[in-house]
Amino acid sequence: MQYTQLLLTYSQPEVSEILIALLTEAGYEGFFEEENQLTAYIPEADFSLEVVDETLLPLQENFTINYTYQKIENQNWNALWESNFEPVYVRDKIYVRALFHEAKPEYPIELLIQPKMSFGTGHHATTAQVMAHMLDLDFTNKAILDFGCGTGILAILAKHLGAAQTIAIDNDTQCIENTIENCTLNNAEVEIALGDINLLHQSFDVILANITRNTILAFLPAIKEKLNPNGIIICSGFYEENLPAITEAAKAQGLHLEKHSVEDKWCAAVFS
Amino acid sequence: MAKEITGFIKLQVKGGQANPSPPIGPALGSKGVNIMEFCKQYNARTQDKPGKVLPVVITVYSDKSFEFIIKTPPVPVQLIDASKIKGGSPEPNRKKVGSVDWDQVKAIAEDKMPDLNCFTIESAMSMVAGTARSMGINVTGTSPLTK
Repeated sequence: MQYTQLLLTYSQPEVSEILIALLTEAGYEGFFEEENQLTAYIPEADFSLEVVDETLLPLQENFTINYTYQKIENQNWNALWESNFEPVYVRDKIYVRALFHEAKPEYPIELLIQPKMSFGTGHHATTAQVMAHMLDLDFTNKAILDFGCGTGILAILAKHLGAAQTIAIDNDTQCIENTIENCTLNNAEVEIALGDINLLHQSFDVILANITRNTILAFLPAIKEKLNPNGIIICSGFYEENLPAITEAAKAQGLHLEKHSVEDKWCAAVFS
Repeated sequence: MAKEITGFIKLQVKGGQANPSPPIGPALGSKGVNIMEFCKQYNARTQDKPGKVLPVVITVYSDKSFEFIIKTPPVPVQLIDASKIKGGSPEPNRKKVGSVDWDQVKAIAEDKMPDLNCFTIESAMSMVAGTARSMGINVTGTSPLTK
């Protein structure tokens, strides 16, 4: 998505939060505060100069506010970190690396991931734990869904572990583009879809969902509906303190907590 | 040895909706911080306040690691919510649009006390009421501050 950047400057710092409140009401999504200046961002399609002037007009009597605006080109903001990240090892069986790392054939599974602002490199405790739980399952000839696929790392791992069919789905265009790229890098045959789980008209033996607490809670009925009898759900993306709420919601869907793991307060849970 | 701090970044982002787009992308990406790691943590910690604009102060260290604290929504954001107005008054000194009562002012003051430079609830309330006036929001009822 393209954004318009509105840079506001002023001499009275107390106006900063008033601007944030009023611009939020006008559709601005996020703010960067520095000394006597505020940078506000809005999707380019929603930007209106008239709305900016209307918003600032009532404040001009008490505050002196100047502004400039410009379109921000889409770019990989995470490029600096991505240019120099450390490879990841999971249980001495999986080696996740970028193109600039050396190959290590001694690891049974090697995954090549170029994240490009998508989530899922294995560095995060949630991804690493889901990958570890995946190693404990038999994926041979199974149908797998990676719901909220990010970089596609879990879908690619599922193919490596022998899945017959793997579908990766995400509601973010950028993640879909990145999953396509990573599947190509890894020679992984994954079906990729833009949208949410309700788009799919088939059921799965294993559903992977490394998303957020609220998304998991909202989609649990749909996830259960798409799960084959005796199917397994591995979910993560939430803190250990959220596990009781998720377990309770899963129980309401007839699902049972098989096991869970915790690392740095992040939880990964396996339901059947 | 304590890690060297390379900077503080102050953003205001909607709860549960952090993504690598601006402002997070340009603000953190230029420091070499892993933006996706920040977004994952921020979203997990703000699941109970989805869509609410929350101030977050991020400390970035020389090894590209970071820590952050999330504050309660800014006073003007809470005033708008409390007064149910859309966008304040076009002429704040003349035309009052929307209003809050002193109980609401006190509730906001209590919520923001940790972030305001105030030693008493009365001075915090006075600050909140002053912000309301700047936004054209009327504070109704008898002021407990004049007793």
